[in-house]
Amino acid sequence: MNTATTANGHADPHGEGHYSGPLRWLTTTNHKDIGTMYLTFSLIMFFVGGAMILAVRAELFSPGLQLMQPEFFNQLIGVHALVMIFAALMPAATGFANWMLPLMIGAPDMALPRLNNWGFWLLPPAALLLTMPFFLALFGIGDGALATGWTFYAPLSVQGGMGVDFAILAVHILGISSIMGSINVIVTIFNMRAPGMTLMKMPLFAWGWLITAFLLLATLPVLAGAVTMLLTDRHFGTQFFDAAGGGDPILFQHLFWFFGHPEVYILLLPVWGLMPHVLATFSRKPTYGYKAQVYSFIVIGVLSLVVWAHHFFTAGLPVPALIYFMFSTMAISIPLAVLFFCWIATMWKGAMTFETPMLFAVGFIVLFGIAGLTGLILADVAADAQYHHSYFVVAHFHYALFAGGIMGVMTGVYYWLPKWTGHMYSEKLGKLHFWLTVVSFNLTFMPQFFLGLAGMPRRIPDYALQFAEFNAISTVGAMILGFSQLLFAWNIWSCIRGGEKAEPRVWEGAEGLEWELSSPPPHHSWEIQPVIK
Amino acid sequence: MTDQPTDFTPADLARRRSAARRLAWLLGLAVVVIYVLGLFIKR
Repeated sequence: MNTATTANGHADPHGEGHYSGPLRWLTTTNHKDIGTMYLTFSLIMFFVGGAMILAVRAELFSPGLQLMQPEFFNQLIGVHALVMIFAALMPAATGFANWMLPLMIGAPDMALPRLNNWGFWLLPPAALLLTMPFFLALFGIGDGALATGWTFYAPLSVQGGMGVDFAILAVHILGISSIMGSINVIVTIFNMRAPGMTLMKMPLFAWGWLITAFLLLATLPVLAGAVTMLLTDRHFGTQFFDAAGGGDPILFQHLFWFFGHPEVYILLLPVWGLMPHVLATFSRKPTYGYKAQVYSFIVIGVLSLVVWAHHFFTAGLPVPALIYFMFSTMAISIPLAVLFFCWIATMWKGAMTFETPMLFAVGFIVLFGIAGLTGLILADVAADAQYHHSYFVVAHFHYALFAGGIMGVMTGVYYWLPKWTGHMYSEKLGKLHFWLTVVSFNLTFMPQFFLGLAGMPRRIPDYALQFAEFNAISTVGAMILGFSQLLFAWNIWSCIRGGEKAEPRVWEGAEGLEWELSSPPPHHSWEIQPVIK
Repeated sequence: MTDQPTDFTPADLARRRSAARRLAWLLGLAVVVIYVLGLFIKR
């Protein structure tokens, strides 16, 4: 790999350095600055979404509590999900892409830097729109945020208050931002790779993101279409989802989940792309099964587009459709099992060490495995009839999206933070953060499997006495989980401010172009193009 | 593992960015087509 990083003296193509202070961040087109903004925004929204759900868990600590009105409880749940998915996880993955893709593929920057800037700056107004109805309600304007859950199901969303309109607008803006980001990722990968870096020599992280970007382009317009139709049903007299007018509420579920299921893989594929890098680095071995992982990403991407109806097996679909969606959903476990096999084989007989990123990566494999196995149970039509809309589902998708998504993001942050900042973080704090997170995560969500099996429905502010003990345990776990994330924020902050100087190749076993640049990398990443043999 | 690194010349960058812009417009058009078609879906 190449080590040449000297400046070539060509004119500054992005105009950086013209401004300082807030204007610099507003106008920057540098991929590293924009990556930093995405990641910072994501961390802030992670705490906003987390605070909402801690209030929910406080309400659920014991039966009979009424810390808040049920309507407010519903609003917190729906906005928590939208914030975590659209404003925390997706921006974190886009932050990774911005920071790392050019470094990894030998490009000087993203292909379309201005589009990149625009994509980011759409996010804060959208986040404001999502959360603003809470504050407007304090002044007697409207009745709070959307209370439909993040799925916007009609006809509830057709009848809902002003918060639904705010959320519809926010989703449109977030969607446009993600589409811009995706287009930029695709054209960067196709047009900006270093000479010699063929697609099949590209880092797996880039492959994971490439499939993610195509999924976003295929599905976000469908979500946008669905919520536009919802908006016209609410305000312009159409009846797309109103049975009385010849419409069909189930149509909304089809449209929503055509986006919603691939969205799960949109959140996970960048992380799956990152894992082989971390595992190979700390096992001091080459990645096992590169091609198998690439093909698995592609197969998972395609399958994710054709399995959406397993989210509403109980809505009254025809039996042939149920059978098709059951088997197609189960089929995803095959490429996913290939990924698990490759991850474990990469570690097999390696000279493993367990620095913080590796701890998170191994934790991810174990906990995400539980998400996969419980997903198989939910994919079974007959079993799903019992588990649907229960806490079993809540536990399952938090094993997927917290243990899979958020812990995956934490793996990436701990892996690349020294590269970004030029400083090492506190390993001691990192490891403490890992153990607190893993233990409290299981304390929070493992009891929810049993609550679901025992029949506790999701999205209710109160419950029968029989569910009291497991709910109390879950709430204690959630509080520890939530507050232990402050360690994460503190560790990042300390690392930005200073610490032991990081080497260009931060980790002994790390391979790849990104480790040949200084830590932090120069303002213009690759001014001399590396040539890959 | 590299072979005679060369500068990213302004001409090379301009060529790559121009190709990227063309592909970006094409992808953007595809997104708009999916969105518009979606509005005509009947179950």
